[in-house]
Amino acid sequence: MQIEEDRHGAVTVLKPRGPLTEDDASGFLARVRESLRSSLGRFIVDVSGVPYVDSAGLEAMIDAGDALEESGLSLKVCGMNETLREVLDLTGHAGRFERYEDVQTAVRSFL
Amino acid sequence: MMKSFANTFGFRPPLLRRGESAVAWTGLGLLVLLLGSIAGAAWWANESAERAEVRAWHSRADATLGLMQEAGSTLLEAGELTGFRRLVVNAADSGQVRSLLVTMGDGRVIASSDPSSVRFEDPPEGRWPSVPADAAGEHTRVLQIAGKGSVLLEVDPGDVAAAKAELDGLVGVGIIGGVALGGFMLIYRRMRRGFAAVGAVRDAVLLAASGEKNNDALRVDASLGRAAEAWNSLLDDREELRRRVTKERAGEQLGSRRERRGELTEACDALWQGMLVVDEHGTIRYANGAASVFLRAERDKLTGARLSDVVGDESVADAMSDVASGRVRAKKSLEVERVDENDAGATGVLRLGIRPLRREDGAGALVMIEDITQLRVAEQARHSFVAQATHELRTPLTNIRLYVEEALELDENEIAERSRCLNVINQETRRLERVVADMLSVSEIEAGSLRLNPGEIRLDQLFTDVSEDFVAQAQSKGIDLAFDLPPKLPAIKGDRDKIAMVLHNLMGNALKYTPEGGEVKVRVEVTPGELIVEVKDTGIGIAEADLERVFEKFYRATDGRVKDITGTGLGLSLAREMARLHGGDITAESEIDKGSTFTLRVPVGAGATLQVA
Repeated sequence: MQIEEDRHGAVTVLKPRGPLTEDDASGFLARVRESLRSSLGRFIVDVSGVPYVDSAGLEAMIDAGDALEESGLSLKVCGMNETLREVLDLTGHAGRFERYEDVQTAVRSFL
Repeated sequence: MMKSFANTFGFRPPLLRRGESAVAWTGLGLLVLLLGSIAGAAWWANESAERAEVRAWHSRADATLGLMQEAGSTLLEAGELTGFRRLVVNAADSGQVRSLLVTMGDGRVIASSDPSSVRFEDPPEGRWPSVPADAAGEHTRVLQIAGKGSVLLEVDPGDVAAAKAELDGLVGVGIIGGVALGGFMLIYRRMRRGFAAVGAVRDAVLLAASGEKNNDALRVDASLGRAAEAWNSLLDDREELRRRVTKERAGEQLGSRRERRGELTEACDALWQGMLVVDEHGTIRYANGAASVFLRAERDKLTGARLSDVVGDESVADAMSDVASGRVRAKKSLEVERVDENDAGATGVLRLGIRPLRREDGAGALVMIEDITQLRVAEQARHSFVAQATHELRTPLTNIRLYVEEALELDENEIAERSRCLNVINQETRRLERVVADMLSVSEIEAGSLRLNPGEIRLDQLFTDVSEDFVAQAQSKGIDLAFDLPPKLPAIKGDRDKIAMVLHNLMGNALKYTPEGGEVKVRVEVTPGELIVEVKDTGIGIAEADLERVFEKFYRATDGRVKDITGTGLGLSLAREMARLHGGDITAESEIDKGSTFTLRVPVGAGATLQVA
């Protein structure tokens, strides 16, 4: 899995490309933690390039959300497809994340 | 090694108190010795008394026989049988013998100490039947009567066992008396201890009723017995109960405080603003989670650090000094810019709101931190947009006004000149239209209302139209505009106007930033998965630092060479948004002074109908 990094104003956009599975879960989590530290919390995750997640990937997303929650922040996720949305809804973790339709909307949440 | 009584027998006799079992063996030995001594003494006394009684018994028999031998022979020789018989009775009585019997050699009784039980016979005249000489024994004597013969004296001294039984009776009475005395002593001892325990417990109860709470004062001597032990046990239970209740109450109170503290901590950590509590020396006493993120420091390291060191701004130290001195009681707001040359993401603007805290133990301050970086970026972008939009709107409007005035001043015959003016007006109007359209698109994107109008896009027609739009412009600048199109182009699904706008933007930029004599090449490739449009120019190029930022709205490169080139800073941003709305993207590669290549990729997969034109 590749994780591209983009910037919208002062906001860093992480854009993983490919399925978020066990092989990439730890790398994804480490990248989120690093972005939390380096961007002063001004970052979003654009998952429009993630077709699906497995249990390890979901766990990594939850851990990432917890890492931000400890600092009063929330993991802002945008571009979620129907598959990801269903996985989060069915597992009851949808409320852990701030969900936005697209990057622009997510970036505006920092205003 | 001697074991204790309890260890040896596995139980402690009720008479033994705690601590006495260890010496129980000694006590038991002394008791056995005492009882043995008593029994031995009693036996010895009994034996001595019995021997004395036997000696006295023999002595009485001998005395009686002696008396009869001296006086009786005289009376029988004188023929005083009656006197002799009286003598027998008297001798037996005085000698304390049971009986005294006088018989002749043929066995006939001539006298007895108990006349009622024996029938007497008088001796014969002449010689009496003689008694054998060997008839004499321990209690018999042969009495020789001169001239008449002999008689046999038999004395029965009585039953020695009877005397002994009398003595045993006395000993038995003595033993029973001793045992009874011992029992009495034991009962008395126990009763005395029992009464002492009851008295001590009564005093303790009265003391407790008077308000005494101290257990040590209420405790009684445990050696007073089981009642005292039970009372002390009750006191111990009461003390334990009191301790437990106290502990539970303390636990509840502590838990309540912890719960409240936990709730407060959780609430502070849930704040999306950073929060610091700073003392009068400017030392951080508390930091929530968001503060640690904004200040890029671990919470543990924040606590105890100086605020001015962490923030790195003198104005913060001055503000804290004012607060600590009490000169400032109102909220103070500061904006601190943090610059990290190595990490652009960490660069930002923090707003610190400092409000004094009223504390009994000294001054302090509550510092709330907000990250307003994105807000500043947005404000800057809007300012830039307004300035740029004003310029973009004013330039065509000015041209339109000038050429309208010129056309009005022309004579009716100057048709060619009027046409030139109208053409310029027409171009400026279309330019104005594009600017307004871009601004409307930005508004729609900002409002989230920008939607695609999907339909069929005939790519061959699309590129024909686009090329026609730019051929004249390229020729006027002397730029070689070339199209590399595949022989057959398909029709795809999408929003034709949006895709056309993207192509216009990419090609317009390429022509705009390419100097005269340059080249612009448009290469189109259609794979089964996507449409790829590559716009390559030999223009001024884009610096690496600006390469990604050119896609930001209202961003204009800092390159001095583009100052004179008009633009809203919206084109590439809008183009990328349009491409992304189609599921694709635009990427850029560039090299200063050598040119740039912008690549549009739009998927034409399952969602799009690929038709060969």
